[in-house]
Amino acid sequence: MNPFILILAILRRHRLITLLFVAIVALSIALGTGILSQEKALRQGTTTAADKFDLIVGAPGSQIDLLLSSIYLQPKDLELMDGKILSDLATNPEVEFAAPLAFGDNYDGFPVVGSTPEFVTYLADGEIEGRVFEGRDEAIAGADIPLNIGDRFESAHGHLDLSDNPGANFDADADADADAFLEALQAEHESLEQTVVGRLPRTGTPWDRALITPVESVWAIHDLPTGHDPAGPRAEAIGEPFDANFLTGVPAIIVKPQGFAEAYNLRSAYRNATTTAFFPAEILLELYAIMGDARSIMSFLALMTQLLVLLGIFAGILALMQLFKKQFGVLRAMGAPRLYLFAVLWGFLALLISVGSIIGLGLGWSLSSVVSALLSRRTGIAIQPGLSATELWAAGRFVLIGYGLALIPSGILYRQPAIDNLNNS
Amino acid sequence: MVPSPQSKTGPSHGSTPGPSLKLAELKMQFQDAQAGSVTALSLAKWELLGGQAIGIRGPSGAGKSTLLNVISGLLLPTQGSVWWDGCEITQLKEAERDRWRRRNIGFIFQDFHLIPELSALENVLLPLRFDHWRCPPPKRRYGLELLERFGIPRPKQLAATLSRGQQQRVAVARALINQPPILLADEPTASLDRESGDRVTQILLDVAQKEQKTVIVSSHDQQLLKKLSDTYRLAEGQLELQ
Repeated sequence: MNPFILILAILRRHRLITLLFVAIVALSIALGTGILSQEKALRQGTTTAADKFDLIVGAPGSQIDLLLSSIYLQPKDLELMDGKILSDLATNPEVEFAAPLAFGDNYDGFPVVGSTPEFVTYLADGEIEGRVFEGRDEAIAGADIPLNIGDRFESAHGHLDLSDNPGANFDADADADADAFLEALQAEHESLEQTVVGRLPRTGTPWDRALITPVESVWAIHDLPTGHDPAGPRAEAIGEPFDANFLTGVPAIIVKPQGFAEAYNLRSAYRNATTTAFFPAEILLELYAIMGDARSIMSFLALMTQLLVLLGIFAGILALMQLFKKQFGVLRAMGAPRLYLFAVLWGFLALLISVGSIIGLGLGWSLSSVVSALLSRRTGIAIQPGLSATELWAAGRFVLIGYGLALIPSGILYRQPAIDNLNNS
Repeated sequence: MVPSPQSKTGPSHGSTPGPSLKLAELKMQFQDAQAGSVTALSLAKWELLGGQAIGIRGPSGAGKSTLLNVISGLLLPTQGSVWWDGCEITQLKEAERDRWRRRNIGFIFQDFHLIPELSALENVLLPLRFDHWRCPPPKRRYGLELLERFGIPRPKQLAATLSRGQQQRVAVARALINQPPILLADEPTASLDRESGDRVTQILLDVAQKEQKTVIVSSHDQQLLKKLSDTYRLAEGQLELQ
């Protein structure tokens, strides 16, 4: 028995309808695949980006804002903690290092973040190109910063959300109000030319698109205390130890605890009226739970859409069967067994579903790749979608349901007496 | 009724004729919404010798197609039996009747019913696909031979692009591909011009005579009918030898 010759004949006769059915199946699969793949890629990307950040300490307020600012470098209005917290943490025996983060400046739209040499070393994982900064006029470039080692730059005040087009000229692209605002800020902003002395390896995080300078230089250009006695021998020093008497407010401190138990102790100790402390993973889990709920709803809607698509197609096929009726009757008159006609119709439907699903998987992956590229461009987080067992199973489930539903019109045809098709057309 | 032994297309001496047909106490009734129960066929006894080529004529709606459907096993009669040689096909299950029909009957339709998207040869070989994944090479050769014999010069030409006469000749080749002993033709020349009709008629007569098939043709075509051994008139459910 070979039903394919007739399946191909049906495909040729009804090219447009076939293409339409395949396209509908493909789009419905693409939608489901895209949602699943995107959500997972986003989850993996954000998790990877937060890997290096064990504990974050900041002023009481939104932990999500603190998380978004500290790890994903999204500009947020953060309250400042008393600078003494930094010196407390830096001298805490449970802490391996405590690195302040100072936000607010940019170079050509790329965020300039003040921190310490320890933080840079930690972030680079020992794979820095060049060296870590040793003076206040030095800086480290993220992997995507368009500056070479030895290049000099001057940071500007402000941290506008230029993530749509980082690297665009800061003043040229801002609107008139923003220009005026920035000019006013810039007037109070000391200028300091800094030299890039090192480059971080690619991390797939927003830090690839950041410049890290000594936190003292950020404080100094804003006329703030630099954490060191200006009259003392460490007046121009960078990094720890800081002098608590000369520390300014800090929006966030990245803490590397000595170990697992210490991490919990520190989180507990700094979760009080003046500070908040949290593991990024716990906030991410909450966010993922929300994302997961949203994904579940969207996946459910996608599945319903897929089922509606199948039902729509089979309704169309039942109508199409009226056109096939006479031909099927003739085939029966020629001695075609009922199973042959069943195989022709079921095979035709299975082919539509299979081809549509394969195309849909590709489309879904492409869709997810485009969205990921846009999100990566916007956030700096490396989001790499893939087709895993989850997406394949979701598509496979659709295919199986489709194969099952295809039994209905095929079964109807199987049960029809030959003469009905021959006469009633 | 037994057809005349002096038929114009009777079996040649010494060859094996196709199967004989016997209808007994056959009645075919349909339910009509307005007229109630309508008797389309009512044949107490009708016999046909194997290897005969006969025609059936009658007004439209007389039941000619119904008779062909009943004797091919496509339609079960309301009562009575249909015997082809020793096989009572009215006792067979549907799948068995399909198999019997596939092996024993070649059907030719008024409107050819070729698959326009397939080539002439693919159409001819189509009945083989019911049993085979790939066409056996001897059958393929036989299909090509039939097409050549019936004047189809390009076997790979799409059926849709053939003339109507060519299409009917391809349909005849398709009916013959399994070398069935019985040929049933329902108005085989009705959709053709005179010239094409004559050619199809000649092919049918040749096949009937040379291959000793039992041929039953339902037709209004006098040119065709007068070349067959006997012609029966079907009216009011009864067959009457003309």
